[in-house]
Amino acid sequence: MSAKCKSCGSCGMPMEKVEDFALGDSNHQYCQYCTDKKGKLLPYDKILAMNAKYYMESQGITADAANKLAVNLLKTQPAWKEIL
Amino acid sequence: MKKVAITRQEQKELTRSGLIQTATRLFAKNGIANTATADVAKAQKVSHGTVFVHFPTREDLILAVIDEFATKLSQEFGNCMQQSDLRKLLVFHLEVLAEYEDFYHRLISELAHLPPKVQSMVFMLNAAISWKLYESAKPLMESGHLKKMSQPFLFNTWIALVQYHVMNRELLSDKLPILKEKKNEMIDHFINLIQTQKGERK
Repeated sequence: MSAKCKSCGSCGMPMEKVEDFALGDSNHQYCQYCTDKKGKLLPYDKILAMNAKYYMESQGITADAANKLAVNLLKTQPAWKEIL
Repeated sequence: MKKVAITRQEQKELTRSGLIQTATRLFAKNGIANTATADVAKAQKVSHGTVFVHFPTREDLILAVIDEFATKLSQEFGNCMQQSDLRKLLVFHLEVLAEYEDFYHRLISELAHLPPKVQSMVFMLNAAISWKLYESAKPLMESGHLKKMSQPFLFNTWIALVQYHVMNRELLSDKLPILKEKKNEMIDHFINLIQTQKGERK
């Protein structure tokens, strides 16, 4: 089996291509969506909203249910595990 | 034969990966809710404490098994998307699910009773598949080869077809994995449902 690709430490998205990583740097621990232009992690609320939207748009999940799914998803990620 | 020494770190990774393989097998055979971490330890011939060194909670072990399966899907889709071919995407999806079908059967059957973090991860995995499916279908909708529909309805129609077959696999097929047996029929049926007359002629 090929080497496991890295996943974002904030949202868990698999980072397959170099452009998926923050700043296009394959050593970065976060993805381009979870970081700002300087590669700094965005605030929790913003990332929570992005993930909830992703659930809603992809599967028609309601706003409340999508928010709950996103809260529980972020709890599994290294960036948020400690603070949640 | 000369023995090759392995480092402690390599041994640790081997143990972790062995525990994931064993857990996948036991979850598939006995069900996720019916498999205790002690069962995994016994089958892997390690102490119960060793399981907790790698996976502090039972939930972490279930998440690691899903993560392994998600990685496999992601790798297959990553390769497939370079060709952005809808049929190929569906083929890859069913082939990976067929490989994990015993586990997937348990996962979707027990999902409503599994921990919220596990549910979140499964729906996130579906979100990624939905996105790839829609990206691949969108140009064909714009060119009039596929019927126009929203991303959730496109994906939900597909996943409903897949999951119904997996949930009832012993009734619907003499041979397992059902996703291998019925692969072409399911894909042809789904494409027939979503394509227009212009798409049929192509």
